[in-house]
Amino acid sequence: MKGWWGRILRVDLSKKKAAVQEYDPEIAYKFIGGRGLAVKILWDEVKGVDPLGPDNKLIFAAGPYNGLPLPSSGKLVVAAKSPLTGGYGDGNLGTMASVHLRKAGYDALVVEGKSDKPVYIYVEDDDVHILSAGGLWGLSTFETERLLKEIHGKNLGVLTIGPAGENLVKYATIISQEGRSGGRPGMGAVMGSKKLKAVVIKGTKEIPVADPKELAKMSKESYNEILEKPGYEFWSRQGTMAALEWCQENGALPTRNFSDGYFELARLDDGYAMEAMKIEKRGCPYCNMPCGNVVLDSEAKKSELDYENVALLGPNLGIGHLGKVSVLNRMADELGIDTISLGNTLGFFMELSEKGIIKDGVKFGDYEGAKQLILDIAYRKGEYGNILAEGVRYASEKLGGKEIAMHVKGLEVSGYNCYAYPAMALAYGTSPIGAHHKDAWVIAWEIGTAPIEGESRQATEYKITYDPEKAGKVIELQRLRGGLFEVLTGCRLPWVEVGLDLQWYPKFLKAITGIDFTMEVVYEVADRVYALIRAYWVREYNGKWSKTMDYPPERWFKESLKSGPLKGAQLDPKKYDALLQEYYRLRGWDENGIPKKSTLRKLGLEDIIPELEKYTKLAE
Amino acid sequence: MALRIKLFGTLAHLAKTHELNIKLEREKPIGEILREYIPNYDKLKDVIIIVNGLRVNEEFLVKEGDEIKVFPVISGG
Repeated sequence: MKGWWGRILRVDLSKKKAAVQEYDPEIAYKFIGGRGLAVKILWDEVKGVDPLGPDNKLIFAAGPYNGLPLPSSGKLVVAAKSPLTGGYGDGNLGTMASVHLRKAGYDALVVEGKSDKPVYIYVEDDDVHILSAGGLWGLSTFETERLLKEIHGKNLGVLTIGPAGENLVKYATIISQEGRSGGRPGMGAVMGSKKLKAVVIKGTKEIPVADPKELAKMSKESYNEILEKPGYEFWSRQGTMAALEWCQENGALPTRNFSDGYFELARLDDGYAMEAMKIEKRGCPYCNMPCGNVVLDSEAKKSELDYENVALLGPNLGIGHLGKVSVLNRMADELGIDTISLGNTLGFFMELSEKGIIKDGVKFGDYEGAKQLILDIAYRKGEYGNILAEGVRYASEKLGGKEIAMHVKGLEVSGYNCYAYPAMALAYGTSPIGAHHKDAWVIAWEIGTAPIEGESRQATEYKITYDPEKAGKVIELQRLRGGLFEVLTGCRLPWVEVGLDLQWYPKFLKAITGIDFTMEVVYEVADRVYALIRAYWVREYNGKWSKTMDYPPERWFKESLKSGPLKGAQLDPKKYDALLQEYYRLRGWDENGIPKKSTLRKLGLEDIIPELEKYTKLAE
Repeated sequence: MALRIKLFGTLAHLAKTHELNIKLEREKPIGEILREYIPNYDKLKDVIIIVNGLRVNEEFLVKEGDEIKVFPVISGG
């Protein structure tokens, strides 16, 4: 095979052994890599286990695109059975570990078992060591990476957890390079449960590709195309932070636990506020359009900002002060916690405090209170730290407030408020890991270009519609954002944000692997991956599955936008349900969102039918 | 007639202003106006034009006193 190594590094921390597994090339062709390889391994090997027990497996999965000098290729999927949701969990982060894993001669690293003492894994090509992390346990992610680089040198990749992962916070993530974070649904906790503090990788091999000359030519051309895009300059100025002003203007900002879509102090948190404070830019390996905008926060320390971090820790908490929001963001990165779930959970707690359900709690706008809560959560201390560390679904069951808990399948909603946007609500409802915007983002399309049946006038009022076309649009985007880019794996932002031609990617795959990957083949891989992820959820939930798992938070149906031009907007549950049924119809899933047998056969997944039928009846 | 057009995001960056203040002799379709003042307008993927709270297409004739906002199509990161 060219492009793929066909090799997975397996490290067993219980047995303290490492081995190289050569995997069947058929798996490479069917799943490509990244998220596809990860779900295949989880389906085959991680069944009915305790996510924080030794039988869960922590998978670091790359694909044929990684390790090569191609646009924004420095990304790595991290996956496991999720301790937060109980289902399929993954994330993706930019890290030198992606480059080095591939240059060390592996397509993936799978960590199994559990160490009795804190350790870290050190890989240098074929040499694999399990080393003591006694002196690192308890340290922040920043400090851990700094020390590991002092010990082993700077030219390598480092992945670490912080105190949050060590303390099994359910939305702890894995951090690299002081701010790249991945694994929202608790991949950091899985790593902590194995007493694995870090993974350090150094790779020096050359990755075998089918047509190196053509690849080098395409690399140069595609990188240049990015630089010449008209949106490049503004992207360089604000990165994803441009979304804050946009959402504020369109009633999509998560404000005060998603209770409204506008924030009166948005100007103090937005991209222009960020530009006034920016001191540095950071990016992932092999990226020429870095999105990491670094500011000095209110404690004069560096904090790397993104839209999601700021939206969930700023407007969502009623804090209109970017310097302070940046402190909260940096704390999360140092402690190794997902900023989205953290901001969402804090917002939930603040609203309970405002309502008096929590006495002497922390109210909206209380920055000092928020800081203390973050520490309480990371260290599971204080009156509420332990409860909030479990996430908003559990916290609402324990404390009350289920009607204002903003999650899907137990994963907290990210930075887009959907009272007025049914297609985006569908995107959240059907995202493979729980509420996340990665797989499909459709708000601008819903406002600007979604066709409205019967409308052909020059001027139209924005109407909340549930046209079946919206289901098709969500799937179209999931095939790319959650499919193509998650199996390559590579960053979707060159295409998503500045419009790099999508046709590059099948061409890259062909030059790397020698195989003619058309977009049709890529879509089939994506559909296969989505169906297998869905099957995994159904199995791990013991067949207790229904369409309500794909419903967005009830707040968007029961309440409405309180201010702005879209005041009064809310979603309609019956119409949402019809849209969801259309989504299932297009995917070939039954009325409960379970893949039909004919669909599984069509996608080459017939081998999972006997297993899945043990848990639930499958439609034909 | 005098027109005020609010620009957002990359559109404001390209036009080098957050607000266009234009004097027109006669009515013009909004698309034509934007094409004139925003460099590389045609290379951008779509814009969203809102006039007095209504979404309009590029042929729409804007007039004095209209509240005009033009947004880029962002893709949510």
